Amino acid sequence: MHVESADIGPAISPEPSRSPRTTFLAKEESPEGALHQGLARSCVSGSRIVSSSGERMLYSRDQSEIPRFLRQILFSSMPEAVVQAESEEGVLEVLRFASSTGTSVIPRGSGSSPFGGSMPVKGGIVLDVSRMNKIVGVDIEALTATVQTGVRWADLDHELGKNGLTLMTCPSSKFSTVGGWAATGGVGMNSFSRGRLMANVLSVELATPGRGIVRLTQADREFPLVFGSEGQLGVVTSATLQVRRLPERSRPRLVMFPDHGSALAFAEEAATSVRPVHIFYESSLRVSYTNKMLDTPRITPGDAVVVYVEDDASQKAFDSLLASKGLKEQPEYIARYVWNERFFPMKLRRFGPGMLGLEVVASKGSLKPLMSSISSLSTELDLEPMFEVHMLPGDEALLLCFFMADQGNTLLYTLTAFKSLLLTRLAVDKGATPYSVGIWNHAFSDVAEKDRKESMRRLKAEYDPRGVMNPGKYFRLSGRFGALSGLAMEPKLMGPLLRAVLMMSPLVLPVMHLVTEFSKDRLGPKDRPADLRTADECAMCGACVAVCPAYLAVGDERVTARGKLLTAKAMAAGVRITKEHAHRTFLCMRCKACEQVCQSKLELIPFYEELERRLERQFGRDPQEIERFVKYSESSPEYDDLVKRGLVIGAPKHRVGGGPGAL
Amino acid sequence: MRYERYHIPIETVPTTAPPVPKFIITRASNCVNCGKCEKACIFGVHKRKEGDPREMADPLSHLCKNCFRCISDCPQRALTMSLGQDYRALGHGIWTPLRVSTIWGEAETGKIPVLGAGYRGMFAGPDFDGVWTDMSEIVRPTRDGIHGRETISTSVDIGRKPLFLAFDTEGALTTELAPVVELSVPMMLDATRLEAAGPDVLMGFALAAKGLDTFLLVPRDRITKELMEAAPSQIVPVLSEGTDVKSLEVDPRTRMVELCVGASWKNWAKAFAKRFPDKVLSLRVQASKGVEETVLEMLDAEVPVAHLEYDEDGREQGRGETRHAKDSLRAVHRAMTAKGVRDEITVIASGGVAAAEHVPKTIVCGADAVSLESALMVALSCRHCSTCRPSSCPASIGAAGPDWVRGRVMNMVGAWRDQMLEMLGAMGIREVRRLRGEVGRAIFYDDIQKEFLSILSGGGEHG
Repeated sequence: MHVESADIGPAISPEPSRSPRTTFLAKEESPEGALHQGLARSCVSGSRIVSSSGERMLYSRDQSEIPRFLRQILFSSMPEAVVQAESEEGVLEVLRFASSTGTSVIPRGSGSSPFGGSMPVKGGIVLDVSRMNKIVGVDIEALTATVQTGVRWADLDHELGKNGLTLMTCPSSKFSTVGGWAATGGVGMNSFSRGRLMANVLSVELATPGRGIVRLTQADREFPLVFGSEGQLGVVTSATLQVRRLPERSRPRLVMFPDHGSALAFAEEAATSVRPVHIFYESSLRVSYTNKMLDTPRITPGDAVVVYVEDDASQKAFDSLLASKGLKEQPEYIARYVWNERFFPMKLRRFGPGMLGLEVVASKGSLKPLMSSISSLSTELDLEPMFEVHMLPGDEALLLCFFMADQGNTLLYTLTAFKSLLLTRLAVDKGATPYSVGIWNHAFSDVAEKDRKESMRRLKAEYDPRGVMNPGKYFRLSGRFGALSGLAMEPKLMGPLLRAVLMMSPLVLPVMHLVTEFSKDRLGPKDRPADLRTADECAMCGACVAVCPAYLAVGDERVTARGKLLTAKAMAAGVRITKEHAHRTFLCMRCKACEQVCQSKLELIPFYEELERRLERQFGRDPQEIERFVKYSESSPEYDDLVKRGLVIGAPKHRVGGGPGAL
Repeated sequence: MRYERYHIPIETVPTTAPPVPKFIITRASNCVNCGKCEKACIFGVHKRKEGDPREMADPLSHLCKNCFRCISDCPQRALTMSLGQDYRALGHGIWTPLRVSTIWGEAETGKIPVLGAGYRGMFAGPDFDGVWTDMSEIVRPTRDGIHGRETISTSVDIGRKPLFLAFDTEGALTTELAPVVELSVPMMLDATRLEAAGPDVLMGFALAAKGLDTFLLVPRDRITKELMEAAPSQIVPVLSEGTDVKSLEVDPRTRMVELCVGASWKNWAKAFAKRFPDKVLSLRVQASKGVEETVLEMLDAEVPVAHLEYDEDGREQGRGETRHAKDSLRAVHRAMTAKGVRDEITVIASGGVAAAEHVPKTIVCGADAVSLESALMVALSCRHCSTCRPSSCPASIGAAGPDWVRGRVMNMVGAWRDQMLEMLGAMGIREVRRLRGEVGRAIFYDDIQKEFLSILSGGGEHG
C-alpha cells in the first residue's frame, strides 16, 4: 500500500506549520451598471472588476478631503467601474476596451496624493494597478531593481535591505506606489543629493491605448515626459530603478533656530559646505506639533533644520560648520525621531481634525520673502501656517505649507480650501510653481513650462489618440457640466479672480473673517461621534492597505482600515450600504498591522468593534464566512510572509535563534 | 474459583478547583492573532476565541508543559512564560509545589506522572531524597516488557504471625493462630489526623477503601452509621487513650481495632485479645526517641500491630534531636531482626508520605505498610496551605461529593501502586512483602557519605 506522507501526521519542524491550503471567496455584491458586462468580456486575464457602489465609492477620492459640494456638484467623481489589474495584459485589456468604447480610464496607485490626479471628474473606469506589486528582480552587481508599478516604496526598501541595498530616493508617503510617484512628479526624500525620481529611473514601461506597451529609457526624448504626466499618456506598468548600497553609517543632525531666516540661511550654507544626502527645514509651529505628539516637549522650540549626512567627510564638515557658527545641535535621538517623522506629515491631521495645504517648488533665494508673505496673508485669513522645506539640487526647493482645518465643519473647511487657493495664487505670483496639477492646482497650470505642455500634447496624440486617458484634467479641466465645471479651476478665469480677491483684500478679508468666525462658532459639529472623529483624523495615506491580510485575501479595500473609516463616514452621511458590504467589514484578522503603520496612531481596533456592533445590529454577522476567512488566511503562504515579516516593517523582527521572522 | 488478578480501576476524575498552572503563559498586547502558537502547541494551550475566531483566546496555562515552542515560534515575540506565583505558594514543609501538583495529576488521571525533560535535580536531598532505590534489573526486563512480566504481588498481611508452627504427635497444629488480615495494597487510608475531612469526604474514603481492598482508619467518634454500613470490613475504629476495654463495643464485621497508646496499654491489649480474639489489635504510638524500645516491649506483650506515627514531615515527635522515619524505622527493624523476631509484629508507618516513591522507601526502611494521610487530602485538590481555613478553601474541599472523592483517591493509589510495581519489577522483586527491610535494594546517602569520608580520612573502620 502506498502511504502518503500526510498519513503519518504532520512532521514537527522548526518552522511553525501552516494548515493545508483552503480557498476563500467572500460574498460578492451583484454587478451594477452596463460597463461591468463589457469589462467582464474584455478582461479575461484575471483582473478583478468592481462595480458595486459601495466599493466604487472608495475610488471617488484620493488622500485629500474634498468639500462634498465641490466633488458632487462639479464633478462625477464616482467611477462607473473599477478594475484591479494583476498584470500588464490586464492593463492592456482595459485600455483596449476603453479605446473601443470611448470610456475614460483613470490610473490609480495607492491613492495617496492629495491633488485629485487619480480622482475621476467624468466617471469612467478607475484602473487600480496597486495589486501589480511584484519585485521582478534586484541586480546586486548593477545596483538596479526592476519592479511592477504597484510596488510600494516601503516594501521595495525592505526587500533591498535584505541585500544590503537601499533606495536612491522615495516620496514622503512611503506607502505610495512606484508608478504613482512617477506619474505625479517624483520630488521627495534625498532629492537634494539624488535629484528627482526621473534621474534615478533607468527605464519605464508604459501601457498605452494607442501603441500598446512602450518601453522608454533615459536616452529617449519622451522619457522625461512620463514623470509628472499624471496618467495622460498611459499607465506605467513597470520600472527599472537605480538603487544604492546601504551606507555604513548615517546620521541626521538637528539644529534649532530662533526664526526661519537664520534657519534657512544655515540650511543653504550646509547645503554647499557639508554636501549632505538631504536637508529639510520645519517651521516652529510644525515643531511645536511634533512636541505636542510626544509625551513631553522634548525638542527645543524654534525652527528646525535637519541635515542628513552619511560619509565621514560630511560629518566632519558639519561639525566644523557648527563650531564656526557656535551652534549647538539637538541630541541624536531627537534628531533621529524628527528624521523618522519626515514620512508622516499627515499625522497632524488629528489636531484639526483635518488639514489643508499647498505644495510649490520655489527658488532658494525666494524662500524667505515667500514664506513671510504667505505668513502675513495667512494671518489675515485667520490661518496658522506651518512650513516644511525640502532642499532640491540647484537653486530649487520644495515648499510645503499646511494649516489645520476642521473637516466636520463644511463651510469653514470649504472656506479654508478657498483660502489655500488664494495662498497658492500668492506663491505663484511670487514666482513659485505648483508641485503636481491634479484638479486643485489646475487654476495655476498656466505657469507650467509651455514647451513641456506642447510636447505632452503631441505625445498624447500618439499614445492616446482617442483621448481616453484621465480626460478632463491637465490640459483642460472639465466635469459633470463639461467645461463649465472646469471653469471653477480654469487658469484664465480662476487665476485672475483669485488675484482680484487678493488685491481687494481690504474689502474681502473682513467679510471672510466674519464668515470664518461665524462658521467656527455656529457651524462646527455639536457632538462628533467617536468613530467619525477617528475617520476625520485618518490621514487617508493608505499605509494600512499595504499591510492588511484581509485585503490580501479579498482584494476589496473596504476590509482595510481606510475602507472601514470611509464606511463609517458614508453611513453617517446617510448612504445605504449593502449586506455584503457590511459583512466584509467583519473580515479582519485582528492583526493590528493597520494600527502599527497608522501614522496618525489611530485606535482602530476599538473603532472596528464599535462599527461591527452597529453593523451587526442592522445586518447580523456571518460567522461561517468569518471562520472560512480566518482558516484561509492561516493557510495562505502570502499571509505567512506577512506574518514572518512582522506584518509591518519596523515590528520586532529580531528573535531568538534567528528562526523564521529573523532578518 | 475464578482467578482474578488484583487491579485498581481508574477513570479520569477532573478537579473542580481552579487550575494552578506551574507555567503562566502571557500574551502581550502586541499579539497579532496570527495563530502560529495554536499550530505550535500540541497541548492545546493556545486556541482561537470560541465566539470570534479572529482573536486568540487567553492561553490555557495549566496545559503548558514548558516546551517553549509557542514562545520561539511567535513572530511578534508576544508570548512570555513565567512561573506561577500561586503554584510556587503551593504546600509547605515537605509538601513542595511539585509534590502537590504531581498528586493532583495522579488523582485526576490515575496514571504514572511523566515529569520534565531529563533529570535536573540534585542527586540527593533531605529525608527520603537521601534514599536511592536500586533498580538495576531494569536493564534486563522481560521480553514482553511490563505486559509479560510475572505478577508482582502488592499484598501485605496485617497481624501477628508465628515464627514457626508446632504440631503434636498426631500431626495436628498446636500453634494458636492469631487473626491476620490480608490487604491488597500496602497502603491504608488514615483519617485520624485529618480534621478537615467532613462526612462526605470520609464517606468517599470508605468507598475508596472498599474499592482498593484496604483499611480506612477513623477515630471512633467520627464513625457514623452510614459510614460503617458503606464499608463495614474496611473501617478501623481508632480509639482514644483511656477507652474502657470492658465496655467497648465493636461491630462484628470490624477486622481491626486501633488504640492510641497510654500508660496501661499492656493490660488493655491483653484484655482486648481476650474479649475479641478474632480481631487484630493495632497500637498507635507516637514515634519518638527510643521508639525501638517501645516496639520491642510490644513484641513481648504479643501485640500484633504497631502503628508508628511520625509527624507531618515524617520526623519523630517530641523535643530534642529527632530522627527522620527512614532512620527511625531502620532502627526499629534492626532491633527486631537482631532478636530474630521481626515477623511476629506488623509495623505500620504514617507521616511524611508525600509522593509515590515514599511508600516503597518506607517499606525498604522496615515498615510492612504505610498509612496515607495528607496525601489523601491533596488528592482532593487540597493545596496543603500553611493555615487551613475550611471557610475560604481555594479548592472547596468541603463541597466534594463521596463518589468524586472515591474516584480521586482510587486514582492516586492506583498510580502509586503502578509506580511501586515499576520499581519492584526493576528491582527484580516479585512481591512487596519481600521489600520490607530490604536495604540491599537501596543506597543511603548518609551511609555512602560516611564510607567515602572514611576513605578520605585514611581508612577509618577498615584501618
